[in-house]
Amino acid sequence: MSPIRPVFNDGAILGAADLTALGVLDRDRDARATRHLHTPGVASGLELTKRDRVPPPGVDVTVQPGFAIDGTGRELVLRTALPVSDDQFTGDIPNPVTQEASTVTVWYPVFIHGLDAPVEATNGVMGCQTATRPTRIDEDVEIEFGRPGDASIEQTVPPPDAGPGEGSWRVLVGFVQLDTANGHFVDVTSTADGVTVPTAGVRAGLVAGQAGRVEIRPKPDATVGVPAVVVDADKGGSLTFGLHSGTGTLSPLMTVDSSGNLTVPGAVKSVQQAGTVRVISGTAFDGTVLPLPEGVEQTAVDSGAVQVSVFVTPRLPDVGTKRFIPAECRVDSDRRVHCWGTVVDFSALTQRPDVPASCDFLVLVSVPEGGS
Amino acid sequence: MASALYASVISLKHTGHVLSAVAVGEAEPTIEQLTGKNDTADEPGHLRVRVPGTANFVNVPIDELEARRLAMSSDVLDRPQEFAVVDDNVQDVGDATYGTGSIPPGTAGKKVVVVWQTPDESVPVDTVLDGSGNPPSNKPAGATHKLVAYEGGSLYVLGA
Repeated sequence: MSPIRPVFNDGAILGAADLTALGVLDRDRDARATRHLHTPGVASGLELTKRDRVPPPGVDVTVQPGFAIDGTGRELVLRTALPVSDDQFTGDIPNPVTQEASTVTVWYPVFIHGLDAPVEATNGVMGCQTATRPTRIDEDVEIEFGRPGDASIEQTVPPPDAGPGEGSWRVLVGFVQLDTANGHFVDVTSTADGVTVPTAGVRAGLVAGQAGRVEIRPKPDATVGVPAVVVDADKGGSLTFGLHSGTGTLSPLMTVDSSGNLTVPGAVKSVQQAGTVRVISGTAFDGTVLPLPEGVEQTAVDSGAVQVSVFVTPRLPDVGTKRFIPAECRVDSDRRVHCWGTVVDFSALTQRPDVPASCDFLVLVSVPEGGS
Repeated sequence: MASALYASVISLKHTGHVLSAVAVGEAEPTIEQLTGKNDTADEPGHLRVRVPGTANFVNVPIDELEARRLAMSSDVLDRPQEFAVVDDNVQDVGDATYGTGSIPPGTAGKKVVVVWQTPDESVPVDTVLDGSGNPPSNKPAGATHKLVAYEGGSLYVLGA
């Protein structure tokens, strides 16, 4: 249904419904804008924190003040810190799942959701009458514990024209573990079982800058070391990925300029292309496995994605007036060096025992035609 | 002595004895790369130390080894088993003894590594020389060869 707004005429008698409609109109409009332009989650604060209980054991858990939006577009505002009750946990979940051979539970998700709480009326229906019905609704927030796995359950998205709903949509704020032996929490976390507390996001097909520069970074503040991607219209345009230096500037790790030039101060690693050859050479002693060139993984060799050619030459050690006679110099299928020989003193016609030796090597790695 | 160069030595963690050396320019290959350790393979990496004069080897497990890139002479590349890493320096510890021979006593309490080789496996022992300065002699059943190295001594790769 399309939104309907109230219209007032001179001399008309206003009913309570007319004034209520004014509030509902704005509330629904805000919720639709929020829901259609943002993804639900925590916008700020709302961390689960713990503090050692006094007296021990266990920890007291608290949800810190903050702001979130749920999947209906309803805002969830927590003005002051809210204790998370272990009594509520044991009441809601009387037989929690514990870890193997332990009294401590697995991670249980902690959600907040909206709650419409009527506020006692302070004015009468008429001036001399006592209050009978609430004249305000407190858009409160309530804590709810879920079961393991609940954190990743899909929730029902309201129809496009709907308002914020009654508050049943749950927003994850963390996970807790409780010791069933004493009924107290023992730990909190923001990530468990592959699920992390979601942050509110933006739904957009276009992000347009206003001053010729758009930046995306994973933290609110541009402190030292915070990574960022910047699209800048200056000097014909550029795309830069880098780390913030703490002074408002970015130390670039990758830049593409308006001519298409890519500048990367570090190494570029990529899948080796057909027709290219990577090389490593050096000296290695008997028994060692020859290394592969930079960027080539053993798994690529094992899978046959690349071909390896190895050349080895015995390295002649300095044996003074004696002679070193190589006996074997090769590598096996593991690229392990087999290199040894005999040192002979021709002046005395004596022979030392065989000795292991080194070889000079060249390893070539190529991709056969048709390979990637 | 030839001019200094940088190369990687594979040495025993416990005593510092160098068992092999590799020079590959600026690259610094890892111990996993140099011993063939591969996550997809069932067998852990090892350095195969030849028993010269025989067709046998002592396979030193990767857990006993470390690879370090150090300044050294070309002599280390030619005869690495005559050196040991001491305080980040490669020092000459004398000719290695291969095949047959006796192991002279060392100083009691010094670190010692013995790697026994059986037909099926290698059995490393990290300990200290006993009160008489001798390495452990509790040979595993079926052991045919052993590698012995102790602080202050040279390397021995002998029949068990």
